[in-house]
Amino acid sequence: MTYQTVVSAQAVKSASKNQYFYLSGRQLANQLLGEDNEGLLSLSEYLNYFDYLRVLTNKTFILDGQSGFGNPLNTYNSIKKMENHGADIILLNDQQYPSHSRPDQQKPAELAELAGKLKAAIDAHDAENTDLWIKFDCWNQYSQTEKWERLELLSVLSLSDIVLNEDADKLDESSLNIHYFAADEQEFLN
Amino acid sequence: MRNFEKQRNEFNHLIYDKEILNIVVVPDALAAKVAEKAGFKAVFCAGYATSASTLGLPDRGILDFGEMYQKVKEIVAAVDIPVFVDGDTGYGDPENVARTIRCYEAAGAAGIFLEDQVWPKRCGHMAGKSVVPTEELEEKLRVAAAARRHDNFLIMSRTDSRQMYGLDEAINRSKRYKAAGADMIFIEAPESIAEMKIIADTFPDTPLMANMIEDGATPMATTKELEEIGFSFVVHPCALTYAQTYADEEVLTELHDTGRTTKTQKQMVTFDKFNHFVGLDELNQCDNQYSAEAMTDTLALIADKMKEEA
Repeated sequence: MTYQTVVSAQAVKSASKNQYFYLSGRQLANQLLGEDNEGLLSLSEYLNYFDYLRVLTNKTFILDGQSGFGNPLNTYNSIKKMENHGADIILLNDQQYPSHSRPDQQKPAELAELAGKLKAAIDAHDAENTDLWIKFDCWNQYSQTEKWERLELLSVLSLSDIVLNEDADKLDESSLNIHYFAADEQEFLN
Repeated sequence: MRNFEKQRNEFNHLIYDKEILNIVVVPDALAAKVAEKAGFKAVFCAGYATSASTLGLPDRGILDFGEMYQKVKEIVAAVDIPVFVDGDTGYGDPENVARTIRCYEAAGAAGIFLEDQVWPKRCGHMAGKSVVPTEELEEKLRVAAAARRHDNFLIMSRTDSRQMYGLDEAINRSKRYKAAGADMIFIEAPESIAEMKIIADTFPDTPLMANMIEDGATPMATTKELEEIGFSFVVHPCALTYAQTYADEEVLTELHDTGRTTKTQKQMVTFDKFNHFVGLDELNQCDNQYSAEAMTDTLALIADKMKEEA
């Protein structure tokens, strides 16, 4: 299975059989707003666009949940909304709200806030039909202890899929499914 | 991905159950929540109310697919009960119908109806309607049945031909619509109880809808009376729109004239009751449950694990 980042219906319709799709908040903000800043795009705007793509295919769609669009309460409701609109996999990143696309603007959320958001996301989502992946945009900003804390948090919450940028400090953790990501191209590498 | 199987199954159960289903058109998400809390087992998202609430315009074919689609999504997201949707004419030709079906089904609707009026359409109880040839809706229904992804997404035909061509034509059209793939039948605007009985006698095994519109062409009957005639479900399409408009006018007149709501406040819901309808307590509880303070135990657990592993 390969991943294809899409922002158009034509791309979805012309895709090969064995593909997952990813609708990148960053790319959509660029397309709709002309700004390289995903945090400018609200969830409702993003989901209204996604609806055009979702109806074209039953294939797995990965949605960009950014940093939950607010606090844990917003995260809870965002997960519900994304599931209602047809998300199969939801990415939540570790940034403070509002989420940013450019690395120099990305600020990590405190551990307690991240824990609250992840717990809210887990409680909100329908585990049978939707997966949660955690995207560590700020991985290189953490100390070793902070990285360890976040990995322990995933362990405590039984979350096993993470997304790291291709230039992130490498991680050798057999208990996790690690997905590498090219931030500039907004493409999954594995 | 939420697949809304529960809502579709529930709606099928309600429609095919012997007991008549009493359903109300909700103009918006708030009304849908109030209906759910009041005990309605399903709600209806329809053009008359949506045209009024969204555009402030009559149901004359100005409201388009995109506006209805948005309303469907808002209402589906607000409630857990099934939402049945007015598909109007399908908003174009059979290709438009297929898209309408796919979008509404994906949005979580439990079913849809399609009608045989000429676009731009009119409310079924307005004068001056016209209908397309029977073959056109037959084709749309065949396309709709083929386009749906779940067999339990119910499709209802609606004919508006009674007003122009009489009951026999409306019944003959409905027979053809059923053969083309309609799961349920709706003959709009019969003009007497006797006509409603003829409809029920003609389609004893097909779910039938009755439309109870205040001041409309069809005589008003109670839910129990409609059940005894043989209808499977009854819809009240205008009650909330008219009630909301009445309330708006009363309150705004007093506000305009006196600058206060002394008189009309007695008719309003209270602050606490409104908060109940919109689920404030549940949201506050959710907010507290995942706050930084509430994460203390989780953080302590992480610290303990790190100590053990160090």
